[in-house]
Amino acid sequence: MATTVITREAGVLRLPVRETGWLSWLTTVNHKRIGILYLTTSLIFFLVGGILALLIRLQLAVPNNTFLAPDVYNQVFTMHALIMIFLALMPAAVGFANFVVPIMIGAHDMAFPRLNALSYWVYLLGGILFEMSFLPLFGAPDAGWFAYAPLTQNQYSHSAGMNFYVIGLNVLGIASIAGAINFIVTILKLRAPGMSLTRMPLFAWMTLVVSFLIVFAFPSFTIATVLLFFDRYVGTNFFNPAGGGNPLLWQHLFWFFGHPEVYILILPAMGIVSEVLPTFARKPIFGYTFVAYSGVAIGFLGFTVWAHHMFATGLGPVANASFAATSMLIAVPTGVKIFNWIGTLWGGRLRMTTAMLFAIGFIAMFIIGGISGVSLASPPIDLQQTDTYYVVAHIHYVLFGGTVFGLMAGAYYWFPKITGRLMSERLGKWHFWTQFIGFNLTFFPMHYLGIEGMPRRIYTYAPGLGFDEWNLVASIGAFIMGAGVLLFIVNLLWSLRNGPPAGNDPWDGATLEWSVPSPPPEHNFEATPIVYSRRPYWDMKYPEVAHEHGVPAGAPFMLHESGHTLHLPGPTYYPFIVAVGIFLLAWGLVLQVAWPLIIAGLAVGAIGMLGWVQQMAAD
Amino acid sequence: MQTQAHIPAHPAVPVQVDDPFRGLDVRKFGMWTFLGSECLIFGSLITTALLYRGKHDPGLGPHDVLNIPFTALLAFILLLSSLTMVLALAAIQRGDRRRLQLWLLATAGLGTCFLGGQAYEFSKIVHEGVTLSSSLFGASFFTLTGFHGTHVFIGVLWLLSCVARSLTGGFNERNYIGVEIAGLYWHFVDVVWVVIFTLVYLLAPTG
Amino acid sequence: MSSVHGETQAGVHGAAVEHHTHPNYVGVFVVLFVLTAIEVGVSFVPQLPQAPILITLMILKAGAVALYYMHLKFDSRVFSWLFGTGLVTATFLLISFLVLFAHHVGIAG
Repeated sequence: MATTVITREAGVLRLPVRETGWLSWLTTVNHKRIGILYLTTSLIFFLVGGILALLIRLQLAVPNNTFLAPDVYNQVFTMHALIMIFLALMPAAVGFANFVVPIMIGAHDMAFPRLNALSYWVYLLGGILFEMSFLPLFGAPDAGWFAYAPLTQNQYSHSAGMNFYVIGLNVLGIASIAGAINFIVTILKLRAPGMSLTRMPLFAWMTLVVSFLIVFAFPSFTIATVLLFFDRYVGTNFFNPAGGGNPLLWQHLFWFFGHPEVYILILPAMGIVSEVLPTFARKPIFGYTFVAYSGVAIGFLGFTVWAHHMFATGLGPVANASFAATSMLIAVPTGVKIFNWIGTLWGGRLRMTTAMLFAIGFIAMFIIGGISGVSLASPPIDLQQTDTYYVVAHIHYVLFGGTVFGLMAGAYYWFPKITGRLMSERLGKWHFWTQFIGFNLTFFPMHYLGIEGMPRRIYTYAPGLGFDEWNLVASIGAFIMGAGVLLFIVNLLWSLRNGPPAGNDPWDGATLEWSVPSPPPEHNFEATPIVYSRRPYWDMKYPEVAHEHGVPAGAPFMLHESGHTLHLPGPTYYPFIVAVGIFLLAWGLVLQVAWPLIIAGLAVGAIGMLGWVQQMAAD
Repeated sequence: MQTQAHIPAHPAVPVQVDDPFRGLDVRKFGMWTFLGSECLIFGSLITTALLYRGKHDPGLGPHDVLNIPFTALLAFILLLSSLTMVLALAAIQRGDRRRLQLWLLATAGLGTCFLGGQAYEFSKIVHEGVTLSSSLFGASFFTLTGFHGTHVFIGVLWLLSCVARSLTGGFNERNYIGVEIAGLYWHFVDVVWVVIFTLVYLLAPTG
Repeated sequence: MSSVHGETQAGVHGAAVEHHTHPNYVGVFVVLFVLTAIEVGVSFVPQLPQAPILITLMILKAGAVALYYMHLKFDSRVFSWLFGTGLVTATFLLISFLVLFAHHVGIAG
């Protein structure tokens, strides 16, 4: 049996480290705990973003409403998007990936466990920084999540809001890029023997693609925000037309990141669906290779379509046509996935668990969102639809009907693995149908509203323009959606205490995470599994069937590593300390360069890094 | 892979002889991924600089204020520092700790000379009237070279910490990955300067 | 870092085998020196087509540093792919932005 050596804390701060209790969460470097931290935190931010959405819908329920003043409304819709995208949806996907992917690939942890912890703490503290912008002293960002110049210049955005935007998003970017590098190295390097890339679960595939997207897309946004920072703080004119700058430079830099970002948001959910569907259809995914490589194709093509967000800026016919062509082209690999999912369902013996409902709901809702996307890819049509509620409908069908539904499927699917208990199926069905009905009531009418000409990002509208009835319907739908989310929370909390024990394999799963206890032990596997196919756990459970598919009879499924030592970093404070340093530094920059905070931040960060490096040397 | 060296000899156990990721150090892997990302950072900055280089006050454009011969000297210094860096790595791969330290110090020294030269050039340009806020050419030029200079500065600190680590026996002929990774970062920063020197300095529009 | 120790052994072992063939580092530097000198020289002769020559020299120099000093020529293809993807994407950004801004029509156009 392998002996595991846990390295102890070394370096400048020799503080005692807890193994249990809440302080142990502060120092954990275990991927499962970090995954739980991500999931819990992202859920809380999701609720915050959802409340902001309800505020929006309250304001827009009737014409000429005065529930929210215009400048408050601008902050609300801007933060709704920023929170949902950067603090809820992306981290939830990372949370699932953190918990599940290392186990799925037969590893004991991520490649860089301390860096993993850093990513989480930077996310949490960055998120807190962001939320604090709502304090009346500051003012939240209010220029939309895409923050078009020159509205974001000092003379038009006086409050500290855009400072929070610039600094806060860069802080979150650090967390994302570090996490992405971690996943790339983990997935490519730490797979169990026999698990070639073409035998890897599709959720791991999508996590890999998403990680590459993050690594290559975030930098242009980093630079865009740095340039905006200089415009606001130093008086440069990068995006200020009055000073010779070009506001479109912001748009291009932003969307060069922004478009891959939406694929970063959807691909993990597609990966989850690709896991859930085969399990509950009781047959393997149809066309595994196509599903995997179409994900790669989407990632790659995602870099070639960004200016379809800019059809109304006068790019010229050649640019318009080129981006229209690439945008329509990207529908092909997407369609391939959809047909493969349908092929997976076809002829399967379907078990309509809640997870399955959400997965099927994902496909249906995503198709609708995809179709509206195709129309938006056509410049002449887009010229009417852009900046109208048609786009709001599109983005919510793909981001809520798509990503959120997919994440919900993941929640119901993996909750038993994470907690050892099953969620209530009864409550789950209520949750699904309430959310499904509420969602469609809210967003389907928006297609019509957009075509009728209702612009986006307006705090109110005049009566009698044809917008009144459907806005009211949408607002009612939003509250039904809210009720659905509430049911989800109730289910989560109830099941945590009262859910029936799940055992290690409640769904008769095929992938390796189902082969370990629920919840899994600290280092996942007693012995490293050996993999012979895409369904390693089915092979272990049903060796006769496995033999028919080419797995050799009597082949060992476990690697017995006598005398081999596994070196894993133990719990440590340093990632948290470095994150605090970054937090202080960020505050110093937000407050228009407050040098004491900046110096404090750099000092704390340096201490943390010193300890970290010493610990690495001691490993 | 964690346990690939110990795969049992059962004929059925697959040994991934064609797995391209076998035997690659995880930290080197992480650094190369990071450098791929950094290409986009500098790509965006260089693009901005190229887009805005014509936006300057009369007589204060790149052709007027940039000192090509001096900057060429800085380029040579940085290239030389890449040589000393790779010699440092070669030294520790042979187990020669003294040479490692010497070459690392030389690299850090050359990097510092580069920074000093940059500071000198910047002060002259500012003196002539081109600053971060005076024109878009100034803004994009200083942002780009400032980012690069910051990377060099961090690199110098990193190299000095490598020297410190080496003094306490941190590296030897079997364990030199830290030096190799620092080297990769350093060479990348040099490559970025190769690109900046050509695109921003030498190819600056005339007149 | 669970695999670092095992990996370092394997990686080092592999690396030690590879690095028996050190390229001529000083020779590469001489090449870099000469290419840079040519670049500067060309820049003082405006009659020559500046962009094609200088960009080619730039690519040669960057390539020399990447292939020889960063050992891409001798290391696993994986590293070349990782770096190359970043490089290609960055180049794509640069060229497409320059084209888009040069041919921008504008709303009134």
